Amino acid sequence: MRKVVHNVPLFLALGLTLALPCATLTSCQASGPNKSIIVGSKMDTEGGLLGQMIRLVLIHHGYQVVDRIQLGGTALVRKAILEGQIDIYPEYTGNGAYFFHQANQPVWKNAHQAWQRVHDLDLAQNHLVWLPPAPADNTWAIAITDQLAQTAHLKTLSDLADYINKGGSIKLAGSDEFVNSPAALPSFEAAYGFHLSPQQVLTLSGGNTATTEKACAQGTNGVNAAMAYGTDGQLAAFHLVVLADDKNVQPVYQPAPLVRQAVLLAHPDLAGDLEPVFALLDEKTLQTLNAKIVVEGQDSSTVARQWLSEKGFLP
Amino acid sequence: MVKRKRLSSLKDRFFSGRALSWAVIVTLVLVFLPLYRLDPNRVVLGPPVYFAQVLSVSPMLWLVVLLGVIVTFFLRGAFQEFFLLLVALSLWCFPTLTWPQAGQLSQELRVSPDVAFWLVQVLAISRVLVRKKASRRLVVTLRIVVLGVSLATLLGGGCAALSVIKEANSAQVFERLGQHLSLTVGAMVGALIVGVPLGAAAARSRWGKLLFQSVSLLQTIPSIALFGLLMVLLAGLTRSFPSLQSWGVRGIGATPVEVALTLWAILPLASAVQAGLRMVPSDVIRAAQGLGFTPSEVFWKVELPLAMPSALAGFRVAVVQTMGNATLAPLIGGGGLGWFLFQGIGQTSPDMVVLGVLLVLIVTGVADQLLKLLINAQQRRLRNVAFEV
Repeated sequence: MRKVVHNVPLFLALGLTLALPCATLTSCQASGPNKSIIVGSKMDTEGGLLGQMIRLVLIHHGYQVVDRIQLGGTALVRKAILEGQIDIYPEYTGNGAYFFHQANQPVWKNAHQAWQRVHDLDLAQNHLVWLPPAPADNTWAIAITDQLAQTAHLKTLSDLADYINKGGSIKLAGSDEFVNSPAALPSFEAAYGFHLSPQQVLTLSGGNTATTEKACAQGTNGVNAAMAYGTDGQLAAFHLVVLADDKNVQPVYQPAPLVRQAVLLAHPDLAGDLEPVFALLDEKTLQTLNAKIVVEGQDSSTVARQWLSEKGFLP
Repeated sequence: MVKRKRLSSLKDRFFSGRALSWAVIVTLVLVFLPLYRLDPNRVVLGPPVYFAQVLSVSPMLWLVVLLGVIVTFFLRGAFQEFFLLLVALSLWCFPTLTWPQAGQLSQELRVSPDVAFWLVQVLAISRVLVRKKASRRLVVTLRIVVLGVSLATLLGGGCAALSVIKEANSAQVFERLGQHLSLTVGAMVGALIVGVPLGAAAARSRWGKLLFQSVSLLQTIPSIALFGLLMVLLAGLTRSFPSLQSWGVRGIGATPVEVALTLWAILPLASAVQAGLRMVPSDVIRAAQGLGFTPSEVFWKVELPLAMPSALAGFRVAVVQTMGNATLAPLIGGGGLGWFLFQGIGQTSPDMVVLGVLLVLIVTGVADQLLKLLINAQQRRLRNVAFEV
């Protein structure tokens, strides 16, 4: 008897945890699942910008939209769309190489083929549709200071390789991943025929392009080159220039809306509504818009709305 | 002899060593360390600005600060504290008058606080904290005056030119603050429902102890892994029971965060309850049984009240811990004050990170102090009841 009474709290805990969901189930059987479109995006600046664009365009065309923008990192957002927790989000074509473990195939270095490949694979395996991408490439790149570019006449990575091989002084800041992943710095080194000694590389473990570019702009530890993404907004503010990848070493990362097939079938006009918007988002445009968020501190939805009305997509 | 005594009391009054050291440190910091930075925009660092420079930019205004510092040399106790707080506060709002253009949102120019600014803030707050008893009416009144003036200038846009405040779009701040509080409250309700019975069970039965240990294992799962796991679990749950969705249960957003925060808060709460119950002297329980108390009466009327101080202390720890952990919510779209931290890191904006940190610190500090007051009041009541008996 005593034993049972003393276990009362335990039973209470179990009972309540079991009872709560049951109560919620019975009390609202009537209302059906939500019919609105859930827009998600990754947590970074460009993710927020493109997510807002999708959201604003869809609202303008009369869709019911739920805002799940800047949800989390790539892995989590990908999981969310596979689980049906979001319906649409902007993703980069080049990431298909990692989603489908085909990182060493050359197809990812060609813009159209990369889009086609990831489109076909995702449609067949996951019932996800890749809508037409934006003509911008947000791939890994190497940026150098304006000053170095002018004094040493560097425009492309081939120029940089010459400069390094002739003994020019260089120190590159990059994240752990950029320095060590075979797809990044090692692939640049192999293709252009240069080699950076450990003294010429500053590894910022866990660093993003914002930190590496800042290190480069401020000349921290003598850094004068940095890992960068093609569409980073802060490049101009930091007085950095991106060196052209003239041998097309890197996979192409074009942003495109990725949507669940079921949602697209229910709203077939959706693709046509978004296509003209993404068609106008080239590298320069994305750099400028990203800069408004990062450098000027404007809100991503304000920047997106302003650009969309400038281009006539919104009144 | 008399004269010397008067002199020493004068010296004591005006130049007490300890009071003087505060004034000297503040002066040294202001003179030798950079006070602000004038950044051309949000990401590029600008040149440092020293106190001598702001004095030459708008002398009338900054002479007031200088006077304030000089006054602290001659004061001690409550008034010195008051003047130090005023000097610290003026550093927040005077840039708005010196560089009014930096306060406009369309302007890229930013006045960022630098080393001397933060050190003066730290010194002023330390000056408040070193006082052991704050019961004197004068001290309390002066502090309330400072608090009122700071709130008024902040809300009236008096600090708008400072970069950290410029990051704080007011609608955004209140939205994130609301999310943060609702995440914490939701998680604490869940933790109370599960943690208190669990702690009670762990104090007396072997099964409860086993369950308790398995909960403490949950503490070791990394946050991102737990969020990923919860998303898949909750998504599966809403697929099988679609009606859950209308209750706001989703695999992303607030739900997984609240579940994770609850799981993390159970351990401190349950272990405090367990410890509290274990500390109840067995003599007291036997005495109660001897008086004819039923087992449930023993629990509710004797053991629980006696375990209360420990349980409440555990609750306070759990609340503070949950408020800190809630900053991870943006990792799965849960919002909250952590949003400023993650966005600030992503956009290389230290100001945004500082804003987030300040907000989290303030909210957590206020909650902690409120709980402390509540617990003290409860214990005082308990003691009074005991005396009456």
